[in-house]
Amino acid sequence: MNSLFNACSTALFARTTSGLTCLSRGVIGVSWRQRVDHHRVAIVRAENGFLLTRFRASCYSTSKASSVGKSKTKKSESKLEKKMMGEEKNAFFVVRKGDLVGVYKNLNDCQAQVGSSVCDPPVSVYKGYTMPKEAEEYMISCGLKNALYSIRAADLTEELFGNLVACPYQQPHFSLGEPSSDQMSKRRFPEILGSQTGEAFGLTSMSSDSARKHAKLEHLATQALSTNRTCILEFDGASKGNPGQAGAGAVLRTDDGNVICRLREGLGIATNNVAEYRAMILGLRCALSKGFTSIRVIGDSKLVCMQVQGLWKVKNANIIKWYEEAKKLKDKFLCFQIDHVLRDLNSDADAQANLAVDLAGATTSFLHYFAFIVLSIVVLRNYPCCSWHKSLEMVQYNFKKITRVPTGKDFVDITLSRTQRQTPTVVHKGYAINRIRQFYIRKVKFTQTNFHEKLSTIIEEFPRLDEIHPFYGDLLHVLYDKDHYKLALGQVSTARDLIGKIAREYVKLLRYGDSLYRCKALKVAALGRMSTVTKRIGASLAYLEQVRQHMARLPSIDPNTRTILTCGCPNVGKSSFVNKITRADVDVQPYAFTTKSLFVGHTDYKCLRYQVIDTAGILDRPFEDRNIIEMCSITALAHLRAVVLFFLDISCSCGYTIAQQTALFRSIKSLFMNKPLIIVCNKTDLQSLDGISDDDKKLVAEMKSEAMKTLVGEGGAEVLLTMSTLTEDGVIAVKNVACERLLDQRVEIKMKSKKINECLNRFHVAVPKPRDQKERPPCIPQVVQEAKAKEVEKDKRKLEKDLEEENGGAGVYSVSLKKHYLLEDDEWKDDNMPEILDGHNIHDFVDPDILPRLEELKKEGLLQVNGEEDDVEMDVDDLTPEERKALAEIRRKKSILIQEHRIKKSTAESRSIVPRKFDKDKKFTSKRMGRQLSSLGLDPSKAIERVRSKSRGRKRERSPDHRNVDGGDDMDMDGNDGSNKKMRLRSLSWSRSRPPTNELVSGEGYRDSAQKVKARKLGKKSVQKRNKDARKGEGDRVIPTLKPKHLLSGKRSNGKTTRR
Amino acid sequence: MATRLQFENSCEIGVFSKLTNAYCLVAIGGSENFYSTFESELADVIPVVKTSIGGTRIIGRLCIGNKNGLLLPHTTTDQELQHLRNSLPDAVVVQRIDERLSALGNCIACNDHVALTHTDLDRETEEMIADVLGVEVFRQTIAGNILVGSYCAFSNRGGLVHPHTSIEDLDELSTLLQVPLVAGTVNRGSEVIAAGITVNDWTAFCGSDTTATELSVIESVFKLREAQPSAIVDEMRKSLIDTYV
Repeated sequence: MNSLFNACSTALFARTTSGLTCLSRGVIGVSWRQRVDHHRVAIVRAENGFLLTRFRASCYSTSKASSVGKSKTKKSESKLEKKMMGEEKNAFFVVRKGDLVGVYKNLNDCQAQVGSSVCDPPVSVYKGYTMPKEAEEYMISCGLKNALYSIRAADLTEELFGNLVACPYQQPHFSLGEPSSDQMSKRRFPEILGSQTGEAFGLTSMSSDSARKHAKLEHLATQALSTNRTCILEFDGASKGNPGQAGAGAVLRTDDGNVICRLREGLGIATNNVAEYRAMILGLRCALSKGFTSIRVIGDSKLVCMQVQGLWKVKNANIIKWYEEAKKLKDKFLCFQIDHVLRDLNSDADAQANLAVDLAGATTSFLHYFAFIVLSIVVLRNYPCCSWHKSLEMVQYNFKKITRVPTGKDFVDITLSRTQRQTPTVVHKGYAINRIRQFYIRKVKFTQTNFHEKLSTIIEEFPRLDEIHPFYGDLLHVLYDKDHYKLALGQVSTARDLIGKIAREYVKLLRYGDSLYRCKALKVAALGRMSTVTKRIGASLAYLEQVRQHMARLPSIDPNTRTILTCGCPNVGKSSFVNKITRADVDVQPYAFTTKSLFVGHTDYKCLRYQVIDTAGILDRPFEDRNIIEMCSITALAHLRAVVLFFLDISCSCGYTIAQQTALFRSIKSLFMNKPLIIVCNKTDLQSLDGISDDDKKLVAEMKSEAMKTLVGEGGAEVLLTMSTLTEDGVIAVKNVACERLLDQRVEIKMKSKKINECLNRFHVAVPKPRDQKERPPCIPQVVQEAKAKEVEKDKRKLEKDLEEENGGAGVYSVSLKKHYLLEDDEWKDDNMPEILDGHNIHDFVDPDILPRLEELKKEGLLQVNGEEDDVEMDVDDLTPEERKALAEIRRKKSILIQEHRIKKSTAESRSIVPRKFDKDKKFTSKRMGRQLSSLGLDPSKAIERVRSKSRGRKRERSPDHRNVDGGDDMDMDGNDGSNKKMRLRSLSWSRSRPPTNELVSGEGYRDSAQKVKARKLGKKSVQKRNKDARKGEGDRVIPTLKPKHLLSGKRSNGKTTRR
Repeated sequence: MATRLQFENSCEIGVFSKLTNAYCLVAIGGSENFYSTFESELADVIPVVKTSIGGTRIIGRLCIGNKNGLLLPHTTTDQELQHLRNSLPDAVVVQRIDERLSALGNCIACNDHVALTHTDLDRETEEMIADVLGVEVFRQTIAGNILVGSYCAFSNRGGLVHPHTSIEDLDELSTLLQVPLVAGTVNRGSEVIAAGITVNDWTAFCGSDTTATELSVIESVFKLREAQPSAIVDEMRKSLIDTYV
């Protein structure tokens, strides 16, 4: 931690002495063509061997470099120059900060504005000379404030200020840079320092090397342009909805692919095709204005490409207008070529178009990358503020999940051992050469992939400082130094590329390897080189690991939520206050700088959660001299939208007088802009506010008036509060006022936003209009009302939870659901009620209202009296003796039958149950029936006759003829003749089609019918045996396997030779 | 007074319980914690009954009731029906109905006087609701949702409805129901109001994810603890704006 701290502070020092930046401009200028997006990292290896890191600064100087050059010999002169700077004749400074552009007459004024930015914020300062008359008039029309002008960035035009030069805003510091680094840079760029007397270019009072360098560049570039006037235009339109909010974007490139400028334009509501056309027109105009005569246009809109080429017709009325215009512009080029490309090849323009959608209608912004263009027009870094706000709103800043970064050596070990484990290890000399080659190629590729994956995770997981919230961006910069951080990540990225390149190279070589030995040697070399590359970035990896560990311990501050920020001199009671209102438990000690970083606590006010950030104390000293601890506080102050509590120790027991504290207040005043500010006078237990001296009172009043300015709306709220964290006097009041102020401000902002309209219904209480006379009272039981009225603590009831605890806990304790049944008799509770009884679902027969209905019926007298009901049980007493005897007989017989049945059943296990009709025992004969019937005194003849008539009889008896012969006593057979004839007819009908079997038919080959009969008999006999064997025919025969192979072949053990 | 609780790590407590002015039904859970929360609040006043409906625990979504009666879906078993009849006071009519839309809790929302129903409910069911529960029945939607039972919760004193309900709809519904209504959320922004909250005239239970702001809206609109619905537009307005916008 300590070492990291040291590293950071040296890095910070290097950052603040960015005078070097300006000296190394030349180098940067040279390397400009290899653009690394926004921030260029150029590594300059100085003679003494240590690394200098450089990135493109956003401010350029016109006169500082000269002062650096002289500073080594004449320090006093640099001071003089500094004084001169402010009063330079006709000079003015244009400061762009976010959405506002201010114009200042001298540098000191604009420094106050710039002060609020920590390092590389969206503040740009430009210097111009002799402001055009029209511009001045225009500025006056926009409003004059404290002898400086301010206009909205949106109103800014290119020509307004004439020529502008980028300008540093930390003027004095550069001349006081570290001597050694001065020396070094001098050695590095002797040509710049040496050519100080060179002639001036273009701009009116150019005396600086860097500016001259720009001018040279410009010259060169224009020359280049005049010789080669071809450019590439990529265009794209975007619309959210069709038609909808639309934007046009275009990227203009030189023919070798370098970006000249990126353009975007907000179009308001338009269709996608119109947006595409507008994008192309935008690009063409820009290209024309830059003097290009030949252009190649690339777009992903087929419609535009085809129409401009004249291949497709233009029908849409909206488009015709733009088509005409595009055509006019097209004709102005000597050479025009338009190509349709796929969307993903047009991503740059697409990105611009998407950004443009958020621009207001008819706003154009230019982003230029060449230095000469930067000089000639004002750069508008018009990143729509809200876009990252929107996209990052839900982002949780959690840096705890970054994976560990291994050291260089570990890295190599991990990857190589992985290769060893996860690729094949066995190869023989004798293998085909192709196989051997593949074996080693696989190893090389596998190692490369692993390196690539690991390095990519590092690059992806570490946050990109430009993409996260500016607060975190700056905080990370302050803590770890942006240059160092980017350099480290850049080195990792380079290493990744290098490893990729090595792998490719060696794979190519391996394809020509002619022996195992040579392939192996190549593999060893490849892996060795990859390892060397990785080892070489060991320092970066170690740094990243330290950064990772530190980042994981950063407090999780949400930059977008409600925040209360404390600030003030050291030891004034900021942390005590935070401890009082939150549970943060910040260390409080009676010496300065107890709090060394940001601490976060949370407190509640009006159902909302507020994040309270405790910052370290700030000393009143120049911005550049501040240490990391202070810079953390400054970062928080600069970037968090919060209510600021400025703590004032009126007892002065912190070691700073009120005057000193006021001075601090003044110097960081600019950081409080647009934030609710409250002056908190702490330690009133030692000194009351009234008791301080008059001078001090004046100072306090001055601060109060300053704080009053931050009030929004009517000044109802207090801005000066007193409290004592020791006695807790007024602490809560301070918290409440702070929360209220912040809430007011946030609500005011939100009331203006569009989103409020979507939520209006949620702030509305719909009150019912009476629709009828009906009363609809609430139903609150008496017990509740009484309890409410009394507000007494009722004796604690034994809950099921307690019972559960006592009886073995959850999962063990099981309670009866019947416990709380409300039944007439409590004993019924545990009665068991069967679900199914006699095969019936009981509940189908349950009628909950049965009892009341029974009662009802009884009352109505509809129910009969008991005696009249049918009694199922027979009364034996009423019977005559004979009847009784018969009854007894019946019962006896019944019981005998039952017994018999039971006996039969008990022994019937082995016997199958035979239906009675088969009557094996010949028990049920008609004779027996006759006997029995006659024993009962009945005449059995009829019954017997009936049975016999039903029996099947002999065959002959069954024939219809026989019946006739019988005499026709059959009752069914009246109308005999007819039916007999009919039957006969039927019986003959089927055989009429063929001759009778025994009749001789010519062609059959029989001599006479006797022979035929004989032959038929023989035929039948011959198949008799076959049929008995259940064979289908003659062919239905089986030849078994005569010699089974398993028995007769091979070596046999005992018992295998015989066949079952 | 509103209580925050959970049913076995789920904040959708309205699914697992049904609270009315005359009784409270609670799902049978693994432990007694959920039941005991209701028990400690209510057991002195009204019966708190553990039950399942059709063998499931999602009783709050399957049944509908008020102080007059309880309607159960056709999936309810005979034993459950008997259990409920035994457990509830005789004044409460327990009735099983043959309605195709068996999640009655999702299709019907009611207090002791008025009921809103799903637009596709049977005519017979509608009559049954009117008879058993003793309410006026209106076929309605809430913010375009036909599952009225899911997207609103109201007692005899106030109601909370789906957050996207327009002001006109709010006024109309409020006139139908004759209680003050507010559009809001429960359980940290959940739109499914009835799943997150179960409420009667003097107490409310909501899921443990419910934020302080949501809880204060609930307490105001249901007039728990002497709060009045007007507080939402007065004292709480700023907090609400800062939370929602």
